[in-house]
Amino acid sequence: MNLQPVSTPTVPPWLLSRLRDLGYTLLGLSLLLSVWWLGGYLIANEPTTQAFAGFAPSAALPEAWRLIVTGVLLDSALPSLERIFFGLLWAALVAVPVGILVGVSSVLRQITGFSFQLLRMVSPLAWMPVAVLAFSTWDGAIIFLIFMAAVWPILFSTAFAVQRIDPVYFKVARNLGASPWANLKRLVLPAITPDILAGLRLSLGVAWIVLVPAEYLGVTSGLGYAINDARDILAYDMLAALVLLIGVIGYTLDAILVALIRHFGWQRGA
Amino acid sequence: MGASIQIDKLTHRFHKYATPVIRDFSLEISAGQSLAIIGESGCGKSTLLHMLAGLTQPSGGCVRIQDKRVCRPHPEWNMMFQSPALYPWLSVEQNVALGLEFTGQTRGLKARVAEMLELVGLAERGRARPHDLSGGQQQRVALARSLAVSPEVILLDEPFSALDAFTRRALQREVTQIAHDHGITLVLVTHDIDEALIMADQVAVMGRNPGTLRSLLDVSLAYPRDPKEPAFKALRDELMSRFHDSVSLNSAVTACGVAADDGSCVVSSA
Repeated sequence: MNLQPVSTPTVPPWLLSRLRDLGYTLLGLSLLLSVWWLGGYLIANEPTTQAFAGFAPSAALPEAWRLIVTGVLLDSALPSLERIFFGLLWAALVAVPVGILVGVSSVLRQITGFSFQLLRMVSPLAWMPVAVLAFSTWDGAIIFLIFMAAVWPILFSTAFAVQRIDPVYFKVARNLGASPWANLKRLVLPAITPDILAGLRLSLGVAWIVLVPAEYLGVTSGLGYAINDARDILAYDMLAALVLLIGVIGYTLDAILVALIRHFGWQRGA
Repeated sequence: MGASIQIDKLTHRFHKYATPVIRDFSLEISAGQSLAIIGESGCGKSTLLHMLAGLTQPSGGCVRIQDKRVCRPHPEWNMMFQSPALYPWLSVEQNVALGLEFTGQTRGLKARVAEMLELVGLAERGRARPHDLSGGQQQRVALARSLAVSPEVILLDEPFSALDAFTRRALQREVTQIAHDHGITLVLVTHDIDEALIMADQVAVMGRNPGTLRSLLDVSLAYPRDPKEPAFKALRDELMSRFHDSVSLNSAVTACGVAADDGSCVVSSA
């Protein structure tokens, strides 16, 4: 009798790992949904809070779907995304060159150290009165607030990244006849790109948080305005749906930046 | 091919009032020759090499390469460091092409890069990233990067010290062979006496406090050299003895050939 070993189909380790990750994510979401559902149930069954029953998932989730399919969400999100884009763009345009200079020059680092740390600790929303006075449009004021929130993480991570560049890379460049411009283009900028993107990711997180209260300022568009409006008309299902969708959009933007960091990152495993 | 090096009363202090690390160091190296410099840690070997490369400015005296005063780094006198210092954000090919790009030699760049990679035995790894290569392969890429700009002089600052014994020995032979084939003048700083005897036509022994030339040994053995040969062993014993003398004696230069009272020593062609 010829005995053959029985081969059993095996799941590839990468697939197993992905499935496990997905399982944990779904578990976390289920827990969150359960807490939300329980909170909604308690609110709906308490006579003094019954008016807020719209916060429950049973009301908010269909409302979220309605906002998506009717295009209401897109109408509100686009102005917000535009403001975020310009706020981050201005922050990067200012923070990257200043960060490089601060990283390169120890004197400049000493001169700016205290002032920058002091300004960094001021809540971006504390600049609201200044923004209203300084800018002729509400959009300008909101972009300024996003800028004030976003500039510091990019600036500090850029400066730190410049300081961390291995000095022997500069010796190699000098040795091979690099001009200052070639040094910047071929050495400094590629070396610090992953850190700039990491700073941008942090900035996006802070800017996205600042966006909603900033859009309470005068404007008649954007996610912050939509939330404020939903509160004013007592549409709590819409309010909860918007909170959920703001989280989803924020997560998506963060995922895009993570993908960019992976694409431009040169560190092992990036 | 190759360039002669004249070192004339080279002195270096790290700051104005410090004791000199190197004092009145004079030496002449003929074109196409290879010189190894050995000495105790802290005797100023690497500082001397940095001054030859133009990466450090001497406090006194001067270095001339093919009668041109060395004031700054130049691709014609190229330094290889202890770490390969490959830019991790570039591919192997892009790393090899760096010097050509920096010096504007972009015509025929691809062919030159391929030729250099072929020379160091890495023709198949051009698209790889530095971190995908072994330490020995990375050092080969650094060699290809140095050779791509057709240097007259290559200065080696303990470039093989981080490699395993087998790779180190192979690279010592390859670099020596390539330098001989292309008539490149080699100056090597090392702690390894066998490495000095395998690669160099002359070995300079430096003393410390301050760094001066103590002794110079002619290595009149045919290439490739075998450390197991009796003549090699005899030279090793001789060099060891001179090295120990330089450590224990803080005396004037021990002559080997044509040493002078002022600490200078002329290296003649083999």
